[in-house]
Amino acid sequence: MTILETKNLIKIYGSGSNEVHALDDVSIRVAEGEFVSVVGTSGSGKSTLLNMIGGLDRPTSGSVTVRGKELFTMKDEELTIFRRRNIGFVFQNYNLVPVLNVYENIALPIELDGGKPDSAFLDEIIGALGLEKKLDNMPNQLSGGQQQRVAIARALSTKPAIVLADEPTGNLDSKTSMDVLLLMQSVSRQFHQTTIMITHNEEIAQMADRIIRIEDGKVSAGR
Amino acid sequence: MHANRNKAALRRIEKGMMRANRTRNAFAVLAIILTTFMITTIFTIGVNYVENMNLSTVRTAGTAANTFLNNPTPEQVNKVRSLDYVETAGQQINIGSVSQQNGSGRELQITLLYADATEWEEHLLPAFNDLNGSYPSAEHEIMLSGDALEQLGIASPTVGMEIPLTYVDLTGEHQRTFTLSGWFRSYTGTGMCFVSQALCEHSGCTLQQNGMLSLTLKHIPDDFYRLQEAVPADESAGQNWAASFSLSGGGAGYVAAVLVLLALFIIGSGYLLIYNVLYISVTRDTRFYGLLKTIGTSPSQIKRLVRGQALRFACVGIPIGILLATAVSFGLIPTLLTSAFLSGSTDMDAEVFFHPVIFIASILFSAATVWISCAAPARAAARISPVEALRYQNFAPKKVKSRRSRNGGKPAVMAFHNVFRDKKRAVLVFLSLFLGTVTILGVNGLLGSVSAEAYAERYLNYDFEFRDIRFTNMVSNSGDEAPQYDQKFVDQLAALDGVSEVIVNRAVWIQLDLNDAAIQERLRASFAQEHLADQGLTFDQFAASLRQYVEAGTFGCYVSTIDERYVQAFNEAHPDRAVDLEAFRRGETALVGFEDETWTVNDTLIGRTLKLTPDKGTPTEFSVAAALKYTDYRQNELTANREMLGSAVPGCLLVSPAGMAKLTDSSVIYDIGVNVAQGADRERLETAMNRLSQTLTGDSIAFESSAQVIREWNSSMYALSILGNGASILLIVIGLINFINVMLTSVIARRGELAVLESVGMTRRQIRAMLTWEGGYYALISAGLILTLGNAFLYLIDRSATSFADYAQFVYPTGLVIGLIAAFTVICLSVPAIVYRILSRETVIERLRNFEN
Repeated sequence: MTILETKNLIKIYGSGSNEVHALDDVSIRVAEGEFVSVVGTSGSGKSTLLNMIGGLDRPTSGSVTVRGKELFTMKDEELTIFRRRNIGFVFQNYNLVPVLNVYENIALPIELDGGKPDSAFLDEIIGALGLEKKLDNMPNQLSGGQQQRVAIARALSTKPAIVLADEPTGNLDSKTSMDVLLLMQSVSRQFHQTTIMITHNEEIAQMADRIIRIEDGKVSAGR
Repeated sequence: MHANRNKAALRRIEKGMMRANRTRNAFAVLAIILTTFMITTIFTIGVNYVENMNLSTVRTAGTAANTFLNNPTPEQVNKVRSLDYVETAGQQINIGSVSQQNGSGRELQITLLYADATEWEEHLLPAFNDLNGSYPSAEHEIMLSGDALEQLGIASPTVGMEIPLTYVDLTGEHQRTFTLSGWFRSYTGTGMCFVSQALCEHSGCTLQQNGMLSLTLKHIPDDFYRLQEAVPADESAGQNWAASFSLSGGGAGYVAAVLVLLALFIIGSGYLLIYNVLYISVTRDTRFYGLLKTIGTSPSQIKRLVRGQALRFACVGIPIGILLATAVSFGLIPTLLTSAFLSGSTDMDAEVFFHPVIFIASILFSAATVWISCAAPARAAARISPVEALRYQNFAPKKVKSRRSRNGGKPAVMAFHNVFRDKKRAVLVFLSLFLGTVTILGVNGLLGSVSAEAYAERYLNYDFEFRDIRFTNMVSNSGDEAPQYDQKFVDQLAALDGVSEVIVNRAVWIQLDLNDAAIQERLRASFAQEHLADQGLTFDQFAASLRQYVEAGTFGCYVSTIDERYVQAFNEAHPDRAVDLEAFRRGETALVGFEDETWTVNDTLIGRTLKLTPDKGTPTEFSVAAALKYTDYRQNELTANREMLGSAVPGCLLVSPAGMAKLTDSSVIYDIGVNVAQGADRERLETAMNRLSQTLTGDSIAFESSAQVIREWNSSMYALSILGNGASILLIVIGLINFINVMLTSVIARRGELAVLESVGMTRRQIRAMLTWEGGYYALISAGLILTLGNAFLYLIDRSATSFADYAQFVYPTGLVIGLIAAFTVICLSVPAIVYRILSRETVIERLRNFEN
């Protein structure tokens, strides 16, 4: 079952001679439970694609449909709420909220949605990511790998349709990177979680079920 | 080693940073302007207050000299002039007096005086004002004081006008037409006519016979004691050294202390403000400083970079602040100080003093404030390690502890943690909001606690009152009792439309019998309460020392009439000690006054009979019915005596008019109280009474008017309220600027973090709610401080208000408290969301990207 579909996505930055086609007619599909990696060199447009899918940025033209819902017909407020229910983000630099402890960071999206955390599910995620003993710690008491694991837990906490990971291991050393990737891979399977991961690293990309390649704003393989 | 040859590069960076931070620059310059403005204003007002205080003392005394010797011999004059601690020495000779009557048939009281150049220029001129013309040089020239002109009925004097005068000097009475060489305004109320040296010489008056030597000594009283030893006064020839000690020193000290406190407070707030702006700017530029370090900028160069920017702010802010303060304070000072210095019936115009020292001090203090304020941020910038800086995240708490909580994700809770993320800043905002508000409340609470009506009621006995200050000042009047008021004047007052009653108090001096048993018993009580035995004195010695007064005929006190209603009031207040009103009215009994609550010397006289012997009249016996304390009677009771005998004699005795009639028919009117009908036009009556009093010629007249008191009171309170509220509004403005500054910079600095929150699904509405909560906490905590600590402070003010003015009634400024709290709550609640709205125009991803780079 298709959970995500983009149709003829075009994003143009600047105008006239400065015009840059960051995305040029990108159409992809991702099925539920799939672990997909998007690979491309720096400036290929892979991050722009991720931002469009996440509803963080609006395309010049084209559409993004998540769970059958067209993203860019929604107003900002509506889009934000849709996003926090359906999309989990994992950023390169973790982006944890410094005034909240680990547990609060993980539960934040649920809290923001006004819901009650499903504590059994949260415990499951926390257990899967090995964060049981760190729950009361503040983000800057944690190492980079630990912070990224918290970010992954946070992304999973709302049982989103898709987890978007933008260079999740970009700030980590190779051993930690591998630990984090293995965790991502296993939770993706364990929770049947659709995951799209962006990376410029071929080796890392190989850990996914499918690889989509992007060159100069166009999908060159793996559509 | 190579010298650092990158000054030019650093200067370029500094310039670049200045250009890149326009908002911050504006804030910093504004902070410096505010601080300089306040410091300069405080200094200007302070210096002017002290100067005007001194000026007022000099004017009231009528001379700037502080030491005097009457009838000096030429040897004494030469000796004095040779002493190095004598700064100036002038001579004044009393030639005689004008012997004319005015239209109302009263003797003019104008003294003819000669002053030498030093006396005139150094001692007298500083005490005068509005000088026109010059000191008489030719024999036919005279110079008159404003009071003399008034007595002579000259309304518009001109230099060269002819004035015929009849005057008496040593050689007899003369009639002569003088030419007016000039006139001036004095503040002593005496009629003065200055004459030329030529006239002085022809009058036969000499310094030794009729003159006085006036000196300015450097250090009073030390030099005064030295002088008395170096040039002893010949007391057998009636010579006496006298010195005027400044009595107002205490008041000036108090004002100075308040101003110093205020100045320190302003410097403190200014420091916080400037520090805050610079510190925030440094934290914001942390990555930049780290970058500079990675490319080889040394810590001291970075310090210089921060200081250089502060220096530029100071160069703009300090001059503007000083200009503003000069304009404002020089406009304000006359209003502020004129009402603060009043003497008797004369308003004293305050002079505005321009002191370079004010500006030098203000510049130094402001510069020091800037320098100290930028020291810590400069050090912080210099300490930044390049590696740390590149990874630096604004507002990341330095020390964190794990927290066992599960509800941190709620906007309200997150907001609470955000407020205390940087404790120093939070405290800064609380403190400045709190201090500003409490100052406003304190000033207004204090001003509200005293009202003109309460003041007038407490300190004025009647609606209008004429007094003879020789009787009501606590001094020896040496028997000078020439009447200042007469029955005609009383009748004129009573005839004024709107006057409901005129109460005349008369006094006569009486001699007491030292050998009388009651007086002896009273003396023993006085001897005991004064603890004279501790000074090695025996009672017999003490009694013997009073013999000389008995022999000189000056052992006694004044007897005054007292309005019966005060006796009734006494009876109501002390039913146990009530006076037989009938006997008092008949003139059989007297009351004795006045003592402190703790003294009981006069009590020994109760029930005893005293024989009172007036100079002219019938020695009469009175039985003492009661002893009055100060609190039982009015403020301006009869306090003078012919000799200062301390507690050896009663302060005064009080009898009914019938009692006075028994004693003498030549008592002196020393006090006239005038009450007016309800709704009478007080201003008009005041003018009428002033006009009437101008026909009086005495120099000991004091006129007190409730209308004037209320007017002056209101104007001085107005000035105080401008000053006090001005200062507090500035403090609140500082508080709000701090708050806006904190919110603005914290939203700017957390832009990335807010974008992260948005990316994980926090809607803008939720973010605005969180920021509003933050503002709400600032308001809530400040309000909490005001309602607890602030109320404690107001309670202290309440306590001190009654000690500073016993007529004060503190009213808790409920409306103001609610209004102020409401006002800053609204500001605190609205500012953060507005700031966020302005700053969040970019899309999430743009902001996220900014955050990441």
